Amino acid sequence: MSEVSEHQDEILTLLRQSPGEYVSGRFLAESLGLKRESVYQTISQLRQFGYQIESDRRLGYRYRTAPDLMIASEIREGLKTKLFAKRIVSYRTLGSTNDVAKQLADSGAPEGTLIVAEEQTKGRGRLGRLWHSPPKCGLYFTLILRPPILPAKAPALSICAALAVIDSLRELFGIQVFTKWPNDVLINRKKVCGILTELVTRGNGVDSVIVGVGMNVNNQREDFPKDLRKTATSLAIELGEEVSRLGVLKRFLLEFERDYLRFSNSGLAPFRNHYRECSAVLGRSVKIRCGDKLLSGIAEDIDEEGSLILKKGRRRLFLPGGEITHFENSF
Amino acid sequence: MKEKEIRRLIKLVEESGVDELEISRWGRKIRITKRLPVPASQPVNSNSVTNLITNPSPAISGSPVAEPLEKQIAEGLVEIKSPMVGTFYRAPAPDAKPYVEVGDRISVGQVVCVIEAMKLMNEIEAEISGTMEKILVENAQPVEFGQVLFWTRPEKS
Repeated sequence: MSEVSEHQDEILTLLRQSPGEYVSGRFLAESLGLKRESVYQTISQLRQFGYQIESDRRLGYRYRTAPDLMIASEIREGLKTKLFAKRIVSYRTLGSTNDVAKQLADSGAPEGTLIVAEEQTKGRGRLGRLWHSPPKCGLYFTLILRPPILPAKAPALSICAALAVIDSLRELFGIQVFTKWPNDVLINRKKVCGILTELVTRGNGVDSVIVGVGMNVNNQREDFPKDLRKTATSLAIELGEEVSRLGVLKRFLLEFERDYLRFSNSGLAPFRNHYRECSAVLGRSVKIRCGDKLLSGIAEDIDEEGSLILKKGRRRLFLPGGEITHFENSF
Repeated sequence: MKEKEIRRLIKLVEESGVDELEISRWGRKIRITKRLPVPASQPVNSNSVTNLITNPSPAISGSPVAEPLEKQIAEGLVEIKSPMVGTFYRAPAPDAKPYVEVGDRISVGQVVCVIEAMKLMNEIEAEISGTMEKILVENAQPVEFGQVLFWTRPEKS
């Protein structure tokens, strides 16, 4: 189960209205029109979820803490977004949040719909690669967007999403986070977050843009398969302590909503300076795989579409896609 | 881009009614801007200009870059074009089977390829039902906005 029931949600709401204080079972029962016994049962179910609720025979129930789980009501709690995550679809386990998002988008799901999973069995990367998505370690979610832009402008959205991840992590934890073009998020040169965006067009316009995010949050080193340990890291590894996944998700939703609305109006232009500041590769010599070609040069800048400007001697190449396989350590 | 070609483009912009011309081919971009306003009476050579533009604004997006293909059109073939600049992939993964081969039956909504730009994947779907006649781009090659990727033959209804 990854959703709390209506009764469970109502009881949580009432308990939270009196932070740090006991609420009597009788009050809960009367407010919700339930029997005292079903109040007791519902509280037991919430405890099984991982909610810490104290009980006292005379005083009733006292709310302590919520579990760090992808429960829709917990994501909603205190979330200040206006457009994002107004509808939340959460799963305990799922093949891929992007796949479900595409189906939902196709059947008309509203903009801002959030699909989130505790675990993915087929978390996707680009070109059929997998994103290792073990339960309870990471954040695996997808947003459905319907931006009023031309398809040709949509790729830059994946750059905006990376900036929103970086801003969230910098502000929450004060850590050094950078991006490797186009949108990998790195800490100490290791990947902490990947973003896979998918565009669905209709006629000449955009039907939806599916923004999928996979983030390593509380993974320990041994949680990663051996072949990933050199290139992947998590927030817990870098910070030396576990952090709230819900906290990271909520912060990102707020940051990305603001950036997304700005992008829809003004494109990438307002973000270019910030992107330069957040980039781990601009100004450095890089090797980059584009389709079946391997290129090298200096990653000079990004243009207003988000393409990488690669300087090769006196020539400049504008690359709309590609994968940086190597970049210089320092200037 | 060679100097000769740039000179030719500048001349083209000078002689035309457009104030600005931007061309981006895979990896290269050039923008030519005119400072002085052009008298309205000057003839506009719009065909030759829009045919060179590979990243046009929505107002002229109906004029793609394509070689003359009267033959295909005369035969009743329908093209599938790329909606953006990117890399063309014929299969979902390097070791996977291509979405479609020449001669395959295709139906409306069927995915025929993926275009990738900046880790944004765009699955291109067939807009008609019929047969795949010709695949014009090789796997993992760069494509331009509006570039014709496939020719398809609609089934007779």
